[in-house]
Amino acid sequence: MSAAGRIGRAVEGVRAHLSRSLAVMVAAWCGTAALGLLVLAPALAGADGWSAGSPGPLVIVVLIAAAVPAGIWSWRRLHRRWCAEHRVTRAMDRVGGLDDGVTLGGLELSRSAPAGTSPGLRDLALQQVGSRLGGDSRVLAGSLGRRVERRVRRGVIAFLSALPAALAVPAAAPSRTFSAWDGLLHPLAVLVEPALPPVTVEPGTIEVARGAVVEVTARAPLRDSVTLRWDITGQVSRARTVALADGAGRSSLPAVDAETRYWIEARDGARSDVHLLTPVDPLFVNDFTIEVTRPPHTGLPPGEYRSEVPPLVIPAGTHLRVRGRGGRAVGAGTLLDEEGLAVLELGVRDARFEGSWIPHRSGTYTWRFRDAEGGEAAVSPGPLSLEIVPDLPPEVAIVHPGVDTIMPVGLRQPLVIRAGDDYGIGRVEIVARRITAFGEKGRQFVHRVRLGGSAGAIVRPVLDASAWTLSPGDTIRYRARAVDNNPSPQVRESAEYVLWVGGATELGRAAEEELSRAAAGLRELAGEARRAERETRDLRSRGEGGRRDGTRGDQARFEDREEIARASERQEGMIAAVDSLRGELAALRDALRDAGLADPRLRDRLDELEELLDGAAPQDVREQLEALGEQLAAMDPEELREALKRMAEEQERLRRSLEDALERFRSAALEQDFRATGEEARELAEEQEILARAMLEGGDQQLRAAQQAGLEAEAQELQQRLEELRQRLDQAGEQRASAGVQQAGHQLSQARRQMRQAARTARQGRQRNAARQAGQAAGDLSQLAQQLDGAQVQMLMRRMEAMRAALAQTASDALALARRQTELRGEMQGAGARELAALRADEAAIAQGIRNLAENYAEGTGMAAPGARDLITRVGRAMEELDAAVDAMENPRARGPSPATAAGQVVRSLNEVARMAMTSGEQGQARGAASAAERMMQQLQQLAGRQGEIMRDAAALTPMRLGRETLRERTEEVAGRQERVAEELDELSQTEEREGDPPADLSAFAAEARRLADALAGGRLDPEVLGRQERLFHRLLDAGRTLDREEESKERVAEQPGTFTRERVEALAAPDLNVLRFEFPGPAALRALPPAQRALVIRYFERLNRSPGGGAGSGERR
Amino acid sequence: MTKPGRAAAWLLATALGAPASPLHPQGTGPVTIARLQYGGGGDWYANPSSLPNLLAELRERAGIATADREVAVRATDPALRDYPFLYMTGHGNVRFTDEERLALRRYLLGGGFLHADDNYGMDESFRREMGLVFPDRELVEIPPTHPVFHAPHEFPGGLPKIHEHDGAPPRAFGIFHRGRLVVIYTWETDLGDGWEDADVHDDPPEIREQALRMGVNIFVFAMSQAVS
Repeated sequence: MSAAGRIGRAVEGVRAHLSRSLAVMVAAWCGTAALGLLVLAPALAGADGWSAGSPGPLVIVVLIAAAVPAGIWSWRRLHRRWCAEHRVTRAMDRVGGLDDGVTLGGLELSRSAPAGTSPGLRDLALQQVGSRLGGDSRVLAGSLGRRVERRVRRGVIAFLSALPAALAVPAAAPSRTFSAWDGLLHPLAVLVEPALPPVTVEPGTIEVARGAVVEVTARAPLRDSVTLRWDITGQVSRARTVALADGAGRSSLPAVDAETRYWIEARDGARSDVHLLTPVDPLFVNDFTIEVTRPPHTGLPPGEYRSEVPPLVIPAGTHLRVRGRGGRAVGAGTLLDEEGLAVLELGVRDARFEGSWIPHRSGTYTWRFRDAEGGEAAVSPGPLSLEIVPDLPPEVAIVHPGVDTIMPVGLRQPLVIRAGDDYGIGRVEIVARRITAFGEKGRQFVHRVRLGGSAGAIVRPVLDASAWTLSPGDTIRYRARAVDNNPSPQVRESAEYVLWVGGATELGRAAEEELSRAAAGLRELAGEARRAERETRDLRSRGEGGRRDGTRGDQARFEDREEIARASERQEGMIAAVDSLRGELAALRDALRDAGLADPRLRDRLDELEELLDGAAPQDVREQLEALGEQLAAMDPEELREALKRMAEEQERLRRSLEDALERFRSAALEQDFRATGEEARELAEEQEILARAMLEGGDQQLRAAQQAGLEAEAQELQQRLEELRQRLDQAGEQRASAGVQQAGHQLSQARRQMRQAARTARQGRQRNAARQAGQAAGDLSQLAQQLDGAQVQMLMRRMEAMRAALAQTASDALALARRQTELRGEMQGAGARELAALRADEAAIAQGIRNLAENYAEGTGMAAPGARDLITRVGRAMEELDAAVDAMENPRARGPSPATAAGQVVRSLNEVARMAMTSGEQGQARGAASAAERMMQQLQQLAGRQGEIMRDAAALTPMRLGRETLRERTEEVAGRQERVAEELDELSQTEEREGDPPADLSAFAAEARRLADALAGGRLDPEVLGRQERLFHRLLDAGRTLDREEESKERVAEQPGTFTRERVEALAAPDLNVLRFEFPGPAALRALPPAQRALVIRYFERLNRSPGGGAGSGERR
Repeated sequence: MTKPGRAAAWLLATALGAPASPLHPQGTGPVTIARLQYGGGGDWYANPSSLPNLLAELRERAGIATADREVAVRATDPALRDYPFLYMTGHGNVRFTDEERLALRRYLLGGGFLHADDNYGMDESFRREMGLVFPDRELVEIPPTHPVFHAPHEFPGGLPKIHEHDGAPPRAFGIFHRGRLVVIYTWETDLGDGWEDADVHDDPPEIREQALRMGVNIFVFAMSQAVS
């Protein structure tokens, strides 16, 4: 490169360096200015941003924009100033150590040399200058460059100082900053916004309660105040200035009593819409009514409440109907629960409202009524407080017997059921089912007792299982079920109880208890009869006294009638009680027979007792009492006396009958107690013997010990019964029998000791010793049973002896009286009145003798002798004839038999009494020959009884878990008894075939009995065999009973429908279906028509359909 | 479920859900039967376990969502229209008030259905009351060919015999309105007894089955009828 070029390039380099520095400086200062404007903008804009029409953004934007040309201009100007060649070259001269102007001269010389300049010198000079201008342009700039750089630094520092401020402002107030900067992006938009926003006033056009003061709110942004104007109809306009704060202000209008228009105006001329205030009256709720309809099953009456509704306590399901009226149109009516939720929306039509509701939850409910505009009612009904009482399930309990127990011997168990429900019981059901001894379930019987909705009831039904063909060992499970009268009935059941059907022993004991109970009832009846007799006697004597004194007035006679009526009713009651007792005895007899308890002595006793009671309350007496009750009011005093006399006689007769019967009942109960205790002793002895054999065979000794302990417990109960029997015998004066029972008690104590020892020994595992001790106990028990039998025989023998003696004495007395009466009759013949009067005392003695005879007879025989009733009847007749004889002696000239003839009648009657007494004594047990059919029935009943015992014994073997050998022995023994039954059935069958038509297929029974015997002999002792035994038992019972008793259950039994023939039914025709021949136009088509035309169209179609053949709705009823 | 059973269930579900139906039983909840409570002294509440059993059958066999129990309504009860199937039974006298007769007529002509089942003894009074409710119509015997005896269960001979009353054949009578069966009256059969718990009358299982099937038929038919 030439020296000239080097100078030029150095100068230009310095100038370029300075130019760039100046550009940076200008740019920094422009940037600083722009940042300053950006920082300044939020402050200028205000908190809400640039106000509409503000020129600020535009000015700032213009300033920022102007900074660019201004910077360029400045840079150019500075460039011219600082980059001029003379200033640059001078600065370079100083750096290069050259004299001032040398660089400029060299530069000019390089451009053009003056004429005449030596090129060599020129080049030399340029070389010398150029050599001094080497190096960096920044260095060559020298002081000039430093001055420029100082200015650049100041510009940059200013920019860098402004930059954090520009960043800090948006961080400190971002919303304001960005709002202001946003205005910078749209400066013209800000500039051209209207100057002021519109003004508004609230609450607008509304209805307000008449007289209300309405608060208004004026909104006029960017204003300080507005003018509120209002115009009340019929008045001049008025105005008020409202000061604003932040563009809003509040004021109030005067009380609104008429339509009022209002609006606001601003000073800038802005004006709001004109609104209207319409005064309305407040909403009141009138005629508020709640109708309460309780569920019909509660039986509670409906209620109605107006205005104020008190707290309601209502049963679940209660229906509430609400209705009422508002003071003006009601928009909505709502019932709110405690959580504010709507539970009932009322139907509204104009001012009326109504609704229905069935509440399900208790609580306090509030009413909310609104008008059509949604305004709250000024006055609403008070809160509705409801307490819902739920319908609780019914309660039911069987209070009697209330425990599992033994079925009464009559197979009729009285129950006492208590049931209750808060709103009433619809019915009580007794549900019972038979479970056989083998676990088979019978069908369920349901007996309903309708209660008609009473809140509580004590029901006394009788569980009658007498027709269920129950067998010993069966159980009846029963429970009560109560169903309330709710339409959706609720059901509750009682606990289930069990009735056991006892075996022969239990039945025997039950029979004894029944007889004892009957005796107790009879004792009460006899006591009552005595009281009644005494009262009637008092009444008679009072009446007789009054008649003699002549002091009986009408009032007294009325009282007499009342007394007689009461006595008659009492008498009827007693007779009814006797009837009931007789019915119970009959039921007892039937039940014992059905259960196979064929004890002929007990059966005969029951027959006798029943007959005795039958005689105590004959039908004709009952009819007489009824007639007396009906005729009492019409009787004159004489008839009253006669009626009273008859009643007294009847009461005496009843009393005597009851007292006689009472003795017989006591006797029968005592005998039955004897029999039952003996039976229990025999059964215990037999069980003990079986156990002794089982012990000897071995096996589980602990089980045997437990079984022995069980039998010892039974023996303990037996001992208690023995003691009770002994006490009864003592009370009955049976001292010898009592001693025999006492002896048996000692025997039992000894047996119990052996049994306890046997149990202990068995527990120790010494089986032989245990078996020996058990065997000794069995022997003791067997002796005990024999002693009891002996004691019983002694008692019976003593009684029979006493009876025979009483009968002999009766015959003797009757004959003696007859002889004396014969003598008197001889004296009467041809006697005059005076003689006859003298004989009356003798006749009175005979009468007393007859009465003594009757009493001695009744006392001595206990009315248990054969033909006792006939004999007593005959004695009564003798007394009547004696009365007739005395009457004839008092008035010998009266019509009728003479005294001697009447006395002869007495003699014949007394002779007859003597004959009957002697015959009775001879008859003994022979009480008349039974017919062949009766004999067969008796035999069949006895066979049925034996079959029942076999069945029970067989069934009892299985649960004892006997050893194989003992079980085999016992089964063979039962098989043998079964075989004997078969043989006797065979014999009976053959006998009856010879004599006539047997009432049952006895040969089939015999064959079945034989098959059962074979099965048992083969060791089969399973449920199937036991079930067949039970069936045979029932078939024998059925064959042996007289079928004169109602056996059908009264329960409703669902039956399969019988056969029936359906009639032919014609197919349905169009008239049947009521189909219209001409269908009406649809709803849409009808709605499109005016009402008048619509009616015409409907009538037209109706006419069409009514025309012949038009349709089925012809109105004709077929 | 058998094919006819499924078809019936579908048909029923369609009918219940049809927006054109004027009756919306219990909104969207399970449907139930309303037991008509009437005056006159008859035991309108008889056979308490019958309707719960029938509802259970409808639920289990026909797949219809039914409630567990029926509800009791009077004819004048505004809620009557909530129940599309009304049932009445009893042994004794039936008597409606004038308002009840009018309400019952409106209900039946408006889409409702009544099944009256003579429990032995309400025949005379029921016929008298129906004559007053529908003086322009009469009870006509429904022949065995009618669809109510053929779907979903087949009864070729017509109404089955459940209990013996007077030894007469069982018969079904109906009242029709524009072809729609609005009242069915079952006589000399005692369907309600057959619907009761098995141990109430100890009916044989096959008899109870017949009764329940016929009940299902009546319900399904009633609910699937078109309402004019």
